[in-house]
Amino acid sequence: MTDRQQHPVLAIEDLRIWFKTRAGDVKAVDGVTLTIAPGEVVGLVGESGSGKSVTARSIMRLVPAPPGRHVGGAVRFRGQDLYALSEGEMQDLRGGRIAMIFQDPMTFLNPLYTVGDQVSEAILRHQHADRKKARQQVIDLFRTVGIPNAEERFDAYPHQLSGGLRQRVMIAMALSSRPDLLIADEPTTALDVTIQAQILVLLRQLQAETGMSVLLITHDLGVVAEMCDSVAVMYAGQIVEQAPVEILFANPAHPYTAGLMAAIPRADDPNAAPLPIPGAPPDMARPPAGCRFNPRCPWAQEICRTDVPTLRDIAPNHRSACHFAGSQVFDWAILSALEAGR
Amino acid sequence: MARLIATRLLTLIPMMLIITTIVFFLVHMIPGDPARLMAGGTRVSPANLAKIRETYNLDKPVVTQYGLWLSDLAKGDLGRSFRQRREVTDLIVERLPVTVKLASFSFLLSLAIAIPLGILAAVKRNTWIDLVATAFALVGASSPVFFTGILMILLFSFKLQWLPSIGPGEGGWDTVVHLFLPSLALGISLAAITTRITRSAMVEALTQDYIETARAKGLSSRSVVFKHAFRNALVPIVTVAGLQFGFLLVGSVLVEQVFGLGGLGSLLIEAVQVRDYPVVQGATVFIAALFILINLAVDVAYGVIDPRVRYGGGA
Repeated sequence: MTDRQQHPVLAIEDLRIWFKTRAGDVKAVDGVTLTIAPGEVVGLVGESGSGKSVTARSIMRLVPAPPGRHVGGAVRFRGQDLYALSEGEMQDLRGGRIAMIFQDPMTFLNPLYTVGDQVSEAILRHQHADRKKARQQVIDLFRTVGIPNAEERFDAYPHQLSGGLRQRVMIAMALSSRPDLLIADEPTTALDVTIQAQILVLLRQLQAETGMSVLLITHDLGVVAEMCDSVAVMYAGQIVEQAPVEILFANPAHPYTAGLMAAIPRADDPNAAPLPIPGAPPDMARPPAGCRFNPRCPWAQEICRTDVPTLRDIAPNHRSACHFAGSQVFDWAILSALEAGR
Repeated sequence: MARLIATRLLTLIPMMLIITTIVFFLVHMIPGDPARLMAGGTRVSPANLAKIRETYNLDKPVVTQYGLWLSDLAKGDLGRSFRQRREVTDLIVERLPVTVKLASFSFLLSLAIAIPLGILAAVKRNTWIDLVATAFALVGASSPVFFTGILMILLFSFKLQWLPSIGPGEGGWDTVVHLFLPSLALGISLAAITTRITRSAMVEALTQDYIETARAKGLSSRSVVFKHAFRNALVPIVTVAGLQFGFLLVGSVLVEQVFGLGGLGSLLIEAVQVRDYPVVQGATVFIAALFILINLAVDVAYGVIDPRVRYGGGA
């Protein structure tokens, strides 16, 4: 274990967030374990409904309760368990040392206030600044995130800006108090492809300049390859694999990760059809016994249907929650599956 | 914004023309002979009847009568009451203050009850607080105002003897004291609807994505609820409140009867009973004009609340 991982910015330990519904408790996050080192960009990938967004929100304790509730586990930010803090202490952290940007910049800005006002609000909340100083700071931030005519844009309302500019406003807001950790929940999903690239480049550049840690939630492995140092794969409310990006792409150690990669359409070989993972994610009110991926796993054995696999180190910096990860038979099976996809 | 107001003021002219036409012909369609009612009995000589009809232009064709009335109206003359033999304008001016006071008091009271209650119900939705607010709204909306009014008189005037039960008071504090019960009776029934609207608009606003952004900024629940959610919830609230204020100008007639306040509503009802055409027409046109102006104020309020209305932009 490296020093960076011994003093992580964020350590999520066996976190469980369940939602009460008529059909019973939906275990949206059910034993998530994840660490983020200082300055590290971690990607959190998974299908829709795998619990990525709930995980992101649960770090900030933004999951509405009820219906959500914290069943167990800890979220340690620089060693401090956030679930042990009072709501007031949590408010000081939100938008201060931990900030968040969201999926859709169209709906995540309040339509009734100018964008400048909305960013100033964050500054006035967390810093000793008067309105005039805050205004100047916002204009500087707007310049930093590449908003042209920053001074005039201060007084613009969200509906007067394009999607890309609105996302830049969101980023300016999140960065206003120089956070240690930025949580980005699918920040480019709602944007045009060309704008997506611009926003990703901007995020990468700002991360390099400030040295903040980033948790980037996405369903796009291409974005992960582009942006992240390491990646955590989420399936059915749990992390099934975490590894540095190169290792994960070269040597996936979970059948679900392998399935995700085989499902990517390939531009270099138009004859290779993407192979979708058969079946659908489980109903999280009644998840399958044993390994949650077993009903969809082509290599499932008896043990997979009975015993819950734990997330364990299979190599330095590489963790997998598959009973067979690390064994030679497994490596051979995964490799042949990836070859079939190629 | 100024252009919005100007256009709305211009549309006022055709609207008023349509309203006056409808009012005039509706009033004249009411069965009953005003001349006979004015003469006060059945045994009136035909000569006298004819004389009355001539004096008040009732012998002319309806369309001619309409033309005459309209040209007077254009000069600001609402005509003279058949029954009271006074200018309609004077009658309205005389009755207006008590109605305006009653309407304003009950309107403010209803907002003072409904908005905090609606917000609280939305923030604490699906708890006992929400349930209490719903129960209040249900009872308030289903009790007729004259019934609530009588109950209040029984309790506060008769049993407890805290407040007067009748009359509009003699100005100043006395008026406030006299109008409190009738305003409360009206206010509660209005508050019922406003509470529901406030609650649903706030629930809607509180589940919007920008609320999450506000919370992620570290804002307190108070700023999230009042600054970010409430202003977004205001448009439906202002719409309903505006309509209610309009209805209050005539809708208060039942309360006026119970509490013996001779307001605009009472003037209108009395006039209909005796086929006092000029008073019915004059009062209705006056109220219609007020209604339109209130709607204009509501439209202006939309622009003040929402920049998308002000700058005329979509998403």
